[in-house]
Amino acid sequence: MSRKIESFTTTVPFWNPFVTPIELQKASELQLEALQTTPSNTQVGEYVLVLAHDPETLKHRTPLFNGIMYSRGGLSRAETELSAVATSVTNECIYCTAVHASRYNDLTKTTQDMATIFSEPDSSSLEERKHSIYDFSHKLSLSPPEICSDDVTKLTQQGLESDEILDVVLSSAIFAWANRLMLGLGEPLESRPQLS
Amino acid sequence: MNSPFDTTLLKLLDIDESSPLASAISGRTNLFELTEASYIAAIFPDDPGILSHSQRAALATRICLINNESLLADHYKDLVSEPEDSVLYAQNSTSEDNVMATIVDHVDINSRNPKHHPEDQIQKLKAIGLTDTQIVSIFAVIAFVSYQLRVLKGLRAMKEAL
Repeated sequence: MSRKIESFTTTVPFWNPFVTPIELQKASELQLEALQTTPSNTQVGEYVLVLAHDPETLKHRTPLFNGIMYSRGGLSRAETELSAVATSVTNECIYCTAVHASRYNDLTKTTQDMATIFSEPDSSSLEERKHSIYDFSHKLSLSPPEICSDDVTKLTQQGLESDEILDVVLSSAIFAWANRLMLGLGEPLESRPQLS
Repeated sequence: MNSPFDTTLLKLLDIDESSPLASAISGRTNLFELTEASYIAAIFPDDPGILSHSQRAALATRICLINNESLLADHYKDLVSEPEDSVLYAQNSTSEDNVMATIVDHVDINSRNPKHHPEDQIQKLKAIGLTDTQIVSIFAVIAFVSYQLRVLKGLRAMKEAL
């Protein structure tokens, strides 16, 4: 039996769904369009096959997610991942945290910032600019969110331009979306469960 | 859609081309268009399935109220076309219909505290007879509105500060 991952890690777990993913070979045209794939593709993961139960939202969600995370200009790729991690840590989404913490480490060639985030509740030991991004994303992730104009001012004081601040908002917000799906529809396991 | 400034969120916040935020927003036009398309897909899908458009708007209202977002809550309240659906966003009363009462409980938990015993939540939804497709469509509404209201709150804070 595969063990459930209960603490933050940069090793990406297997995401085990609580609901049955659609079968790609039986997918409707709308589902295939939303998945942007063909029935012969063997690389489609469980997560998107679960989301394909609702193809109308999946169709727009995937390009929106990719656009927020990978568009050129604005916030750097690493700082976009930092905002994603801050939100995922706040929501205690082990899976999303692992994916985006490992990407942050790859981009920055360091593991220190993620070690700080995993060990300090408020991550106050991060460099000031990083901490301002982390703190803004954390506050926006709370329910209800605790964001106000002063938090934007803190970002401008750290040198963030308005296009970068907008990207922090979008990155944090899209993980309010992603975390709720990942946390609610499945669980992170050490590895794919063996078929019995 | 011709402009990001024609999208629901920016119209609600009265942010237009003359705003100090206009340049940043224009740089992300496609993302505002996709946010609008996601809004239509989550609240007004061609195939509404388990939740009518009116019920979706009522649950979106509830999520906004949970998150102290009255501007977006009022927007959604205006989209609740069936008067009986207003019970879905009433603070201290839920539907007498067991299925809708269970869905409302789930909306409260997943929007407030998504890590709260998720497998138990899924089992409760399955126990009232919901299919996997119906369950995923409920999650799609909660997750989208949780995103949308945070974009709105972030933009509002930016508008006030910049």
